[in-house]
Amino acid sequence: MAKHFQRKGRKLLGIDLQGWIKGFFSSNAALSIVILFLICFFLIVEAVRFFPQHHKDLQLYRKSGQEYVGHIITEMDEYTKLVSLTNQAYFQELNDQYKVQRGVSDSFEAFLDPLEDDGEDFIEALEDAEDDPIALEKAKGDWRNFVTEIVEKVDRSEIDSFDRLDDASWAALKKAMVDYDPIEEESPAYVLQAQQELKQGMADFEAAKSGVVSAGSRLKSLRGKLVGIAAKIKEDATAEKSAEDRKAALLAGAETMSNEVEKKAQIEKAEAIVIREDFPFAERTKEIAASKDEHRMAVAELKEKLSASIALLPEKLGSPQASALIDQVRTGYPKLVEKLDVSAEKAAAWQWDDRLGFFGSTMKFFFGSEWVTNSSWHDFYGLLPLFTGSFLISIIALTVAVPFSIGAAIYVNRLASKFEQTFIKPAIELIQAIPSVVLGFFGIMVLGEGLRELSQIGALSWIPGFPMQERLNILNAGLLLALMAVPTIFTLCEDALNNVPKAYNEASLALGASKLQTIIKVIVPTAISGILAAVLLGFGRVIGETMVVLLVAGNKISLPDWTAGFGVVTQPTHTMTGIIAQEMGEVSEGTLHFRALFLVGLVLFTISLCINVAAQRIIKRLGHAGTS
Amino acid sequence: MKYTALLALGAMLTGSAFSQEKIVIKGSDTLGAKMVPQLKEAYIAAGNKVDFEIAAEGSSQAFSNLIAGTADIGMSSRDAKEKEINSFTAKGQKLVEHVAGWDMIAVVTNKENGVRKLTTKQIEGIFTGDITDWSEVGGKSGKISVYTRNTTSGTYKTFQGLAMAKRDYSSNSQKMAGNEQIATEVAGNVNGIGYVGLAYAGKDGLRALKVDDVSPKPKNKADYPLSRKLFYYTVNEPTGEAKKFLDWSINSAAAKEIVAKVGFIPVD
Repeated sequence: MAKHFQRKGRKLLGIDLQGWIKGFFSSNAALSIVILFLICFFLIVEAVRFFPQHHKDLQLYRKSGQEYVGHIITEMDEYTKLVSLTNQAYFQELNDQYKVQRGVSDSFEAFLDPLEDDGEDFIEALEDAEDDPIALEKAKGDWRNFVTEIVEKVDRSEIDSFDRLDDASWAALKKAMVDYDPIEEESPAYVLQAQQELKQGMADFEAAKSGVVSAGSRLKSLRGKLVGIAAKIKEDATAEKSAEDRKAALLAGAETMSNEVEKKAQIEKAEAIVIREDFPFAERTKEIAASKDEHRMAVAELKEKLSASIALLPEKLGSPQASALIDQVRTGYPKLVEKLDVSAEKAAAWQWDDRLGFFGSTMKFFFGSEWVTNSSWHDFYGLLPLFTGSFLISIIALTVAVPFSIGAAIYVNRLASKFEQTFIKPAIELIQAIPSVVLGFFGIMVLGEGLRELSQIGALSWIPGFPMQERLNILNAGLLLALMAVPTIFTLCEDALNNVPKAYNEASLALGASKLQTIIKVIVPTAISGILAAVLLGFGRVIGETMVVLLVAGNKISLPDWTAGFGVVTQPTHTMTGIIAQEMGEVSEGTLHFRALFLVGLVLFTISLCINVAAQRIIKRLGHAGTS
Repeated sequence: MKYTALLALGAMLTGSAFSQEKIVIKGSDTLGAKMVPQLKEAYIAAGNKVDFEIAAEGSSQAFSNLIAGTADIGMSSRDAKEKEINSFTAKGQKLVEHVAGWDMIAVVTNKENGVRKLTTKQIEGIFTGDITDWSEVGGKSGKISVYTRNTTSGTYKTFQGLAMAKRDYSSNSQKMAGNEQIATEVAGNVNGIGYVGLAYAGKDGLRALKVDDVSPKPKNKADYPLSRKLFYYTVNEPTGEAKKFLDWSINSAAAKEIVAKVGFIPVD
């Protein structure tokens, strides 16, 4: 063979054919390494530049007073939760105790639409006939006929859309509608009576409820005022920075112009833009700093009024759900006060020129619980919700995939017949051939819908998180990713089991151990390093998957509600991979958002790298029977 | 022989293809999903010999493609940001805006949900997370599932301005990739609420709510609180085929009919 080559080989540039072939392969290897380094370099450069930019952004957040106003916003949000609970309790009670009355009142309102839309002519006739008793009588008769006709014709489910009326009251309301006077807009007596009953019955609750709702009005108006001011300061400060860009843009544009007059005009326009060295934050934030007293008083007023109104909430309620909600309000109040105090302390300490540590801003990224982009207020980049989402989905995926794939690997490798082996192995490995976007589609249309329907079954409602409202959630995504991880873990596991020396197996059997004993006591412990590595690599496969989680995880960017216990898996979430895919498409290069996404990419890359290194280490250290 | 014939045929085909001018239109998927493709069909059917390339990936793409010279016309569901205008000025170009029509953003719920109308205040409360349960707005009790577009969508921003007093979306909102996805999720979830372009509000299982007592109907475009303008953008005043197409699609009666058919409201 060698001779053959040499005989035919002609040297090109002093290198013979073999040299060229060798060079071809080695340059391929070199090229891939170079590309790998370039990717890493690019990723790291973009990602690392995030930190100083983020630091500046947070500094502006503080200097512009937005940080201070942010505390007020948090306080309002916490308080609003109690308001929401009170409202829910109120309507729950209303529905429970005064369902029919509420139905009568609402359905009456709903009747007015078709009457006023189609009955314009009749109403006009009534108006015209006001001074003429005979014509008036006729017009009234026509109106009544029209009303009777409409009332018979309408779809009951359209009018009584919550199905609150029983048949008797529905009939009574239909009859009463004839008494409605469209000129004076006077409600029929039947409706008035229902409204009266409702109003009297709920009067105490209503009063207490409006007390709760209005307790925060002072704080709310302060929030409204300060949000505007702080946002304006930030806008001006950024505009001043962008003035620099605008000036540069105008000058650069002028360079390209051929028309001298226009060119001159544009240069003049550029010169007119003044750029100041420092934005006068101290002066601009005076008003915000001065509102600290007002803030303190507003919070005190909120606490005082709220506690008074909560005390007024009725002790005994007809509806058990409403009572439970009111209990939540009562227990929520001390917690709210605690949070308000903490927040008030932070707010009182705010100074526009406080130094912001670089470490602090870095931690805000890694442990921040908010990821808000394209906001009109302020963009927050906190990794925690995304990381938690990715992590939870991976945990679900592994919990499902690991037993299946290890079990399958042991079975195929040790117990299956030749025929089964030739069938099962390719079948499992074929799963890898399904494109992930197809799996995602399957997850939305089949698995998601199926899981949701299954969760609606009453007998299963003891399972935490059931019945589930969302079909796109952690569980759905986790199950699909488990399917994707099975081939990876299975194949690697099977390799590990294969590498256990035959002698071990034979020796164990010779000592009288059964097949099962051999597997559990000898084979698996020997291959354990390979199996662990397989699981780790499966984890790597799962955490890096993008398409499925983007389509199926539900894309809700917030920390999961842990109070749901295990039910947390039926909540939607967002992931690190998903956010990059979703937001990278339209961010412009070099912006903070762009770099934040790169940093998320770097975090993902680091995780994958660590997993791979760990897998290698495990194989080396534990590997008696080494999986090579 | 055979091959030469084939080659000649191929050359003829490509020749004829290249002899037509091509208009490249890129940007918002609100305009690019149905309206502009249908306008294109009608425009060609009307005997205009011109090729089209349409890509709908979001409003921001309109500007990045116009500045790169890879599009003749940009479609956008929001007006240009200052930063975007700057980049054109820097190249000595002018960004020209043409109003393409009106779009109404419909707030949709599941048909099974009895709530028929909401006020803008209530909508603000729901989308910012102040209101979390349907019983608070008159419905049966149930936790509200909020579906929104994702942050890079023009509609996301527009809705924030029109309905939410520019406050941030609730962190419990779920970000969907498009109108169709929101429609599907809401149609499948009794407690769901979301917003879509009027063209999508007619999907089975959805109900478009009255907002402040005004239904999202074309005749109400001026009164309905959640309506907005749609734009075409060009670099400098359009010329040639692009100008012909723009004039036709904004002013001709046939085009207006199409705009109305896909659920938008044509310019008066």
